[in-house]
Amino acid sequence: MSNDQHRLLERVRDRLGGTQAPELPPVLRTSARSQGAETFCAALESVAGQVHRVTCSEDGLLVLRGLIADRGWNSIACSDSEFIQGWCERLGSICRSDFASNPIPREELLQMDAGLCTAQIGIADTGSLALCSEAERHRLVSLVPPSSVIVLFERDLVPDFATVFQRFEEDGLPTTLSFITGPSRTADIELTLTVGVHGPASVDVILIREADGASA
Amino acid sequence: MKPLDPIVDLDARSFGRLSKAALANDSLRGALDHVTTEFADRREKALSSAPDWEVWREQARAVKAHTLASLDTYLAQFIERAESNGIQVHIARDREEACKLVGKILQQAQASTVVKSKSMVTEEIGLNEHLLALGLEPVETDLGEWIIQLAGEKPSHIIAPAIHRTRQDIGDLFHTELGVPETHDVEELTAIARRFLRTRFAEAEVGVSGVNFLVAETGSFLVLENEGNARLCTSLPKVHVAVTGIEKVIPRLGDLDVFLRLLPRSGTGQAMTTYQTLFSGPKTDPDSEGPEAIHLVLLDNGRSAQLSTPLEREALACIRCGACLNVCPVYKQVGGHAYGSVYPGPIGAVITPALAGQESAGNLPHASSLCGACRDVCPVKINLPELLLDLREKGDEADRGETWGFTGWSWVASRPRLNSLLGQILTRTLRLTQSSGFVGKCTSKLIGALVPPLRTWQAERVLPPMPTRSFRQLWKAGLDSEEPPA
Repeated sequence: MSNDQHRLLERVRDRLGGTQAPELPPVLRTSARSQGAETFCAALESVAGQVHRVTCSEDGLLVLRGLIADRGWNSIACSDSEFIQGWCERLGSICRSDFASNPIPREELLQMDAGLCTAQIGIADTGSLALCSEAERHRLVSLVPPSSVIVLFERDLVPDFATVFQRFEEDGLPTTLSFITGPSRTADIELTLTVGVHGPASVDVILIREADGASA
Repeated sequence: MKPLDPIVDLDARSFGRLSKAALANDSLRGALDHVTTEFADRREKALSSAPDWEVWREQARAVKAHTLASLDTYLAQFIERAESNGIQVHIARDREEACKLVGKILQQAQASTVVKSKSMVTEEIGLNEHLLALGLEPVETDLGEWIIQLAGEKPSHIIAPAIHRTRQDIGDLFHTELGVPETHDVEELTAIARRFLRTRFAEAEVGVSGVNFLVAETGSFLVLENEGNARLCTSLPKVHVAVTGIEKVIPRLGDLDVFLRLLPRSGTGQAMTTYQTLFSGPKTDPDSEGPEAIHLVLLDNGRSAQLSTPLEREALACIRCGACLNVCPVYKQVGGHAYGSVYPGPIGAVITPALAGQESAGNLPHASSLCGACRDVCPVKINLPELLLDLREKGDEADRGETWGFTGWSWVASRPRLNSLLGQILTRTLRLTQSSGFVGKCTSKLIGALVPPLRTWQAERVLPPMPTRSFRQLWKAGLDSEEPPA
């Protein structure tokens, strides 16, 4: 510990002057509610996210093809996850993958239409997605393009944030844990809600019941 | 040389003048009324689906009370674990040290452009002014912060810094400052911000963010936001610098849950903000993304001095949701700038004198009607009225006039005959001021000259007509004899 750090702690200790601290209450474990897909969908849709429920990966790919056609996307920035790579091969040249050895150049990424990655955890209570930094390169592809498509498996749904924190208490945290709940939004001008100010204006979650074939 | 004020551009002594100007500004008052009412309504709505709200508040209060009373232990634990995670932890005793530290980190990173996400602590220390003086270019990226940066203003609300401005104002500002075609459409204005700031994100060498919570157990810190600019600031540049106060620490990862339930609902009325990012170190895996270095600056700036008594410690529990601003009858009328501090509203009236001292901000605690609405909405149950009273007492110790006034009043009030006599004299004199013509005018002027506070009072109000009989006389005659009020 540095001198500055020691001095700060001493200053704090000095001002507290042997104060008897009131007891720390145990962590509040809110009663686990439904972790069902219905709860997740309703919560995410209430904040303008879209959920597409499918039974298998093949149907998920069909949904993605539909989105590409409907929204006229010409370029998709893809994470390096094994599962996403499986889809990339099928989709062809519209996909540009972000590999550590061959990352998407910044200027190119800024021009791309959509981003595609998976989420490691879904939180039913709030419709949130959790992205763990070491799992795949999803940080920029889920953030920079104006549209975001995120694949989530139903088996990765948990009831609430408390459950997520409990899990990481045991497993240890990734260097960066990003939670995403719907599209980027602001209300800084007259409290008028506007989406897509910095992050994606649309978030489409493809929720897959079974993982068949390649796993996430 | 005069030492720096602990808060940049502190002008809290001008509350009287600034608030008068604010009250005369109709456009500002319209904006304030809309925003504070809307925020308070959204919060109410969010609470209606949170039946356990009081349980959460009590939990958060208890966690904060414990942590602040053992802050040395938790800070030590946080620093040790954060450093073992690879986060470089720096300590700043005051505003000047904090600015210098950040400046040095940026110079070492050979930065010229710095993107910033919203941080009240960097507002407190005046970081942008310091960086500009060093020849660096700090770019605010939160929409509200960017607007006020373009306008050369300070934030007027803790969570919505530009709410004092209307869309017309902002459209005109963008037109003059950025040379874009004039528009007053909110979506178009937001799109302009996205377009202009994209390039800045891409070129910045360093990103600066604030912090909402430091987690001692894991050596991590959490940043909440809605726009995605904090994620961009902390993902694109090679270096991430986070600046925060020492009071933000909580003991356990699991404690985050209750604070995440309380903060968005209290601030914007959302069940959850769009993004929460938990940082536990720079990238270690060469295959992953993110900054190569994370620096965290822990700022004291008068905070440790607030630890001595349980009451003062309470103010340090604040999680900066802004809910107390939206319900405060004073803030709702005068807005944030009148406080002359980057921290306005009830919590600002407490924090500002606490950090900057009584001499600089001792009159701010008087900017309150002590109605208690702030205490009722506070998600961590800070007893704001009690703190305001405490600060008033400390500030008033030097104010002999008020002490004598109250001593005199209690002497008279405990002597019924004298009290009654003086009451009658006062009633008659006031009745005279209400009589028409020359006599009325003269007595009014005379009273105003003799009792200056009364003159101020009369300037804005009309005295109700004096009753013919006093309460004492009515009481003696029996209350029934009085005609019922119309």
